[in-house]
Amino acid sequence: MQALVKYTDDVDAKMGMWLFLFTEMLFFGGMFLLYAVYSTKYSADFSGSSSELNRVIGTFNTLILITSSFTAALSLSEIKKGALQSASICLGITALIGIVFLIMKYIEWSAKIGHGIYPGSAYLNEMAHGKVLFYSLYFVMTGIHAFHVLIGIAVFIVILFMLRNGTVRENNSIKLENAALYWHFVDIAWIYLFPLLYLLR
Amino acid sequence: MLSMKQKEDTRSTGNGTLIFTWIALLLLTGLTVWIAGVNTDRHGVAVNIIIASVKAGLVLFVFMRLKYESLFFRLILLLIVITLTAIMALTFLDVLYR
Repeated sequence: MQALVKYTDDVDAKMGMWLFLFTEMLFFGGMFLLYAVYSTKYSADFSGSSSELNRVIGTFNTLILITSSFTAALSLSEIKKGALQSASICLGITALIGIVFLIMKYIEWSAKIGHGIYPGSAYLNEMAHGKVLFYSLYFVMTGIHAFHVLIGIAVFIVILFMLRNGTVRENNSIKLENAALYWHFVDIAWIYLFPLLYLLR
Repeated sequence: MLSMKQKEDTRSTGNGTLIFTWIALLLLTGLTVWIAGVNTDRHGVAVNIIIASVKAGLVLFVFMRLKYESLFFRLILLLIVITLTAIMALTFLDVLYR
C-alpha cells in the first residue's frame, strides 16, 4: 500500500502569499491613482474636506495599527523561538487592536453619516463636485481597508485556535507567517491612506 | 503519516530590532502629523508621502522580513513599484498637459 506523504513547502506557500499581496498592491494602487488625479484637479475642495475629518481618530488609529503590526511581527519571532504562549498573547493583542481600530472607524463613520455625509446622500450631492469626489473616495478607500482589517482579525482568531490545538507550532509556523504578512500589508495601505485623507491641507 | 518538509525558514528577527522599528514608526507618524500642522502648502503633502514610503520600507524589510527573502521577491516588489510609478507618472502627464 502506498504511504501517505504530507508534503509542505514554506517557501512556495510564502510565495503564494506575496503574489496575492502584489495583486492587492495593484488593487489599492488603482484607488490611489484616482485619488491623486482628483486631488490635483480639485485641490481646494480636497483640502477643505480633509480638514473636516477627525484628525485625532485618524492619528490614534495609525498609531495602534502600527503597534498591531509590531505585535504580529513579535508573535512570529516568538513562535520561531518555540515560545508558544507569548506568541499566542502577541497574536491575541494584534486581533484586539484590530477590533479597536474598527470600533474607532465605526465612531468616525457614524459622525459623518449623522451629518448627512455618505455616498449618494442628497446633502452631499449639493456640495461642490470636488467634495463629492473626496468623500466618495474616503468612504470607498477606508471601507475597503476596514474590510481587510475585518478579514485579518478573523484569520488571526483561526490561527489562535490552531496554536492551541498544535496545528501551528514552532516548526510549522507558515500559516502564522502568511497571516502576519497580510496584516503588515493592511498596515502599509493605511500608512499611505492616513496622510492623504486626514492631513491634506 | 510521513511528513516531508522543504526549505523551512527558522531565522528569527531579534526582539530588539522589532522594538526599535516600532518606535521609529511611531516617531515618524508624529513627525507626519507635525509637518501637516506647520506646513500648509502642497510641499507638506509631498514630504508626508516620502515619510510614508520610509515607513512602508521599514514594515516591508523588518516586519515582513524582506531582508531575509531571496532576490526574486525583491525584484517582483520592485517591478510592482515601477509599474505603479509609471502608471501614476503617465496619468499625470495626461492630466496636467491635456
